[in-house]
Amino acid sequence: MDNNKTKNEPIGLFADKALKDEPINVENSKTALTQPININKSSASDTTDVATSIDTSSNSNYEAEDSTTRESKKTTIASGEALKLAVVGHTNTGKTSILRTLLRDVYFGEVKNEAATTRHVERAQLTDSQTGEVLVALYDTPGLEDASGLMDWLEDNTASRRDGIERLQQFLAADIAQGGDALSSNEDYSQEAKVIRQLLASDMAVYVVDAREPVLGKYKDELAILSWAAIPVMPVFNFTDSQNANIDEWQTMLARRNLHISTRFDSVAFEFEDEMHLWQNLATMLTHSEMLEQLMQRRTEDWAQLYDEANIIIADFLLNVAAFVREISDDDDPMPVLQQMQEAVRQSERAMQHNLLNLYKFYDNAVAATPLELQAYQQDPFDPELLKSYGIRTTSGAAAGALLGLGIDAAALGTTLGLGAAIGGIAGGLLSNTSSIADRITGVKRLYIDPATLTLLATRAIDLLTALRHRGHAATDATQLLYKGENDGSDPSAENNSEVDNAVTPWSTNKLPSELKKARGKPQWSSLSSGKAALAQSLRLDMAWSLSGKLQSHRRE
Amino acid sequence: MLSPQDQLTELVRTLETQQHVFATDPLLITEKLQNEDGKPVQKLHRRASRIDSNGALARVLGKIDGRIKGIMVIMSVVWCISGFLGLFTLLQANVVNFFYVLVCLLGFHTLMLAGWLVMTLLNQGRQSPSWFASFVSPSYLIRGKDDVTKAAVDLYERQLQHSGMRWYLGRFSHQLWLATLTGMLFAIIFLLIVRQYSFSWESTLLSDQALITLTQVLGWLPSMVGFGVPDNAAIVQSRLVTDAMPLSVARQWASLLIGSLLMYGIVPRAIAWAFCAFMFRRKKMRLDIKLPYYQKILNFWQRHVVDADDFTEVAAPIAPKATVSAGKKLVALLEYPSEKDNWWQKGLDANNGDDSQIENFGIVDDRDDMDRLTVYLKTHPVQVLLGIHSKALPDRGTLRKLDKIAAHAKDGLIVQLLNDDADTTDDLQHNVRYQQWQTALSARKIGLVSTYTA
Repeated sequence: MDNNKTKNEPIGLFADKALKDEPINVENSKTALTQPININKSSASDTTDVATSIDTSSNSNYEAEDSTTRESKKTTIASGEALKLAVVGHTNTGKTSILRTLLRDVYFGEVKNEAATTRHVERAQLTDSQTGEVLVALYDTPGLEDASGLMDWLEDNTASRRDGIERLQQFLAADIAQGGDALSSNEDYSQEAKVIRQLLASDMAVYVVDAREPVLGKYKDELAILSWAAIPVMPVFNFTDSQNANIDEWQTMLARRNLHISTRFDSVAFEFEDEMHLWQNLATMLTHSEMLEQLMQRRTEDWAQLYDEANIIIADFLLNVAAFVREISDDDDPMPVLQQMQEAVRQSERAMQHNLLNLYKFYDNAVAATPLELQAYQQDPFDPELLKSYGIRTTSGAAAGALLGLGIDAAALGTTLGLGAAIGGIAGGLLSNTSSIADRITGVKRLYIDPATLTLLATRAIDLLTALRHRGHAATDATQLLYKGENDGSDPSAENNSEVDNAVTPWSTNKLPSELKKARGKPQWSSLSSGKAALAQSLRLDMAWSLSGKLQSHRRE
Repeated sequence: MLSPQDQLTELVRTLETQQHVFATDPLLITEKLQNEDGKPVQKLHRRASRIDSNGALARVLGKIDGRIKGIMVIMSVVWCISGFLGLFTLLQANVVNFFYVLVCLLGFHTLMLAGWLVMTLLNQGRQSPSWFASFVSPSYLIRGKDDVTKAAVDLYERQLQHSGMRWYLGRFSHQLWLATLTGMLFAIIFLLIVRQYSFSWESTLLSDQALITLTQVLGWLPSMVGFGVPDNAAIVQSRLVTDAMPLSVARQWASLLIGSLLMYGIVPRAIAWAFCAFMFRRKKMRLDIKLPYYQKILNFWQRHVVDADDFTEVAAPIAPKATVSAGKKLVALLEYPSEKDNWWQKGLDANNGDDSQIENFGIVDDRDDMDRLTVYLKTHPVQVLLGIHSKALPDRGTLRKLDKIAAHAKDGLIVQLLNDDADTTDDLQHNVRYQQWQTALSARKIGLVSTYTA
C-alpha cells in the first residue's frame, strides 16, 4: 500500500480500487481508519497478501471495528458531562473574537483582519463560577479556508456510499491532511484537518458567519462538510451590528440545509440577551442540556451581581464626592481650595472608572488603559461646556451662593448671603446641616461640590457602565467604548453639538436623591475630606446600597 | 533604610495602588515628565515630589524620620550623661585603685564589643534580627489613622525587615557606647583637672615584676600615640599607696588611664561604628525600580516619537502591472457580485475599444462554475480578466481558484480589484486588503489592472 508515496497519482489508484472491489475497499478504509501510521511502511506485496486474506476473514473484523468507531463518536452527551463545543467557520469571521467575548478575556488568542490568524486548536473552559465545575469546553479552531478544494478531494477520493464520518476519516488519514513541506500550499489541507478532527471529537459545533458577507459557494461547501460530521451545528451571526448585514439571505440558505435555528451574537457590540439566546438555542439541540441550563443560570446571576456591584461602586463614588467638604475662613481666597477640590474629584472619578473597567474584566489592555483613549469619559467634569452638552443647567435650583461655573457650592457664603438666606436654604432642603448657621456666625465658609456637577458625574458613570455592559471583549477600538444606545444616530460628533442631546440625567439637578443630600452633612463619609478611606467607605456603605438601588431603578424606567 | 526621596517615591507608589487622591494628578505629572531629562530614578523622585505638591506626604515621612532621629539623639545624650555620672561616682576617693577603675571603665564594654564581633562573623549574610522589628514598631512614633500615615508606617515597617537594617542597628548601639565612653572621658578629664589623685595598685598574687610587664603591655598602644606610661620605679612605688604621691608619677598613671580609655574604648568603638556605617551604606535598601509599577512609568517615559509617522508608501511587494493582450478576452467575477454591470470597461477600455472581443462569464462562485470555466478555457484560447471585490479576503481557497484559472487561461490571467462602495470610513481596511492582494498577486506573477486608487 505504497500508494501514498507515489506523489502524482496517489489517490486515483486508491479510489479506483475502492469503486471496483468491495473487499479491498474495506481493507483500505479500515487501514486508513485504524493504522494511518503503518501505511507508509507496508510494501506492495503486503497489500496483496492482506487483501486476499480479507476476502475470507476480515469482514467480521471490519464490522467490529466499525461499531467501535461508531461508539467512540457520540452525537449526544451524557448528563453531567461538559459540553465540547467546537467553534468553526470560514477564516476571518471572528471565531476567536466570539471566544474572547464569551470568556470575558481580552487576551484570548490573537485577532487580526487577515486570513489564518489562528492556526491551532485551543481549548477554553467555561466553568461554574461558584463550584468551579467545567460546564462547557470551547474549542477555537483555525478558519476553514478552502472547503471547495476539500470537497473536490472528498468527491474524487472517497466513495459516496460511505457515510460522512467515514469519508472525513479517510481524509484525515490521507497525506493531504498531514501538512508538511512536501505539499504545495494549494494541496495542504492540514488546517482543515485540524478543524475536522476537532469536529469529530466535539459534541456540537458553532458555525460562525460574518453577517456582512454574501452567501457564497464556498460557505455552502463548508456547511456540507460540517453536516458530514453528524453533530448538531448552530450558525451564529457575528458582526450583526454592521449596516450591510445579509442575515435574511443567510437564513434562507441555512434553512435549505436544515439549519433552522440560528443566533445573532456580535462579538464587539455585546448583548447579554444574545448570549443567553445562544446557550438556549444550543440547549434545544441537546438531549441532556443540564450543564447549559446551569451555565445560563450562573451567568445570569453573575451578570446581575456584576451590575449590582458596579452600581455600588458608582453610588459609593457619588457619596464620597457629595460628602466632600472643605472649610475656609470667610476672608480667605477660595480659589486655591477650589482647585484642590476639583483635582481630588477628578482623581477619584478616574479611580472609580478604573474600578468599573476592572470589574467588567477590561484589564489594562491597550484600549482601556491609556487614559487618553477614554476621552469621552475623561473630559474635565468641571468644564461648563460639558454640563451644557449633558443638558444640565447650573443655575437652576442652586442657591445664589453657588460659585457659578466652578462646580462648587459655598454654603453660608458670608459676603453675599445673609443669615436669613442660610436658614432659607436649610428650609428648602438645600442644606441639611444646621452647623452652617453656626458657621455663618463664626465666619467659616463650607465648600461643597455642587449638585450640577454631582449630576454630571452620575450621568457619566452610568453611561460608562452601560457602555461596558455592551462592549464585547473582542473590541479593539477605543471608539467602540462609546455606546450610543439603540435609537441614537451614528454621528460621533453629536456629543459636541450645542443642542441638548439625549443624555438622560438620572435626576434633575435641583432634586438630588436624599442620600446625596444627607451626605452633605457628613464630612466623615468622604475619604477626600478625612483621608481615611477604609473608615469613610464603611460609614457610607449603607447609603451606597440605597443609592445604588435608586440608580438601578432609574435605569429601568 | 531608603533615602528620603526614595521613601517618598515608595510612599507615592503604595498610595497610588490604593487609589489615593493626591494633591496633583499622578497621570498628569507622569505625562509632563516624559519630555524632561534625567536618570530614571531622578525622574521618579521628581515625579513623586511633584505629585506631593503640597508636601503632605513628605511631612508625614519627615515627622516619623525626625522622631526616630530625635529618640536616637535623646538616648545618646542620656547614655553620655550616665557615663559621666558613673565615672564621677567611681572617682570619689582621692586614692584610686588603677586596675579596678580600668576594669570598671572598659571591662563590660570590651566584652560587648567582642560579643558583637563574634555575632557579626557568625551571622554573615543572614537576615536582620526579626525580633527587633517585632517589638519596635514605627506606629508607636506617630498617631493618626488616615491613609497617608498608615502607608508611611507600613513603609517604615518594611524597611525594618530589610537585611541592611542590622548594620543600622549595630551603628546605633555603637553610637550609644560611644556616647557613654565620651561621657566617661569628659568625666575623667574634668576630675583630673579639678582634683589631685593618687593611683595605687594592689594584688595578693601578682609580683611587682608581673605588674611591670602588665603595665608595659597595656601601655604599649597608648604610648604609640604619645600618652605617658609609668616607668618601672613608678610602678613599684605605686603599690599600696594610701596617701598623696609625687605629681609626676600620678600624671603618668592618669595619662595611661586616659590613653587606655581612648585606645581600648573609644577608638575600637569608633572603628566598629564606622564599619557598620560603611556596611549600611553598602547594603542600603534601594528603590526597586524593577517593580511593574515603576517599569510601566519608565517605559512610558522611554518612548519618544523622534520622527512622526508619515508613512504612506507601500513597501510590501507590488503586483506586476497587467498587460492587456490584443486577442479575445473572457471577463469573470470571483465569488462576489459587482454593482456595476460593465465593471471591466474601466480596466480594458484604455487598451481596447472593441467590446465584441469580450466574453462575459459572470460570477465564478461554486465548484460547478469553476468546472464550466475550466472546460471553456481548455477549448478557447483567451485572456481572462478576473474581477475581485476589494473586500474579499485572499485566503487559501480563493488563491487556489486563482491559480487554477491562471493555469488554464492560455493567454494569461489578469486581475482587476473592484471597489464598489467607495466608502471613506473603511479606507484603512481597504488599504490593508489591497496590500494583501498585491502581495498574493506578486507572488503568483499575475498582473493587476490599475484602476484602484489607493
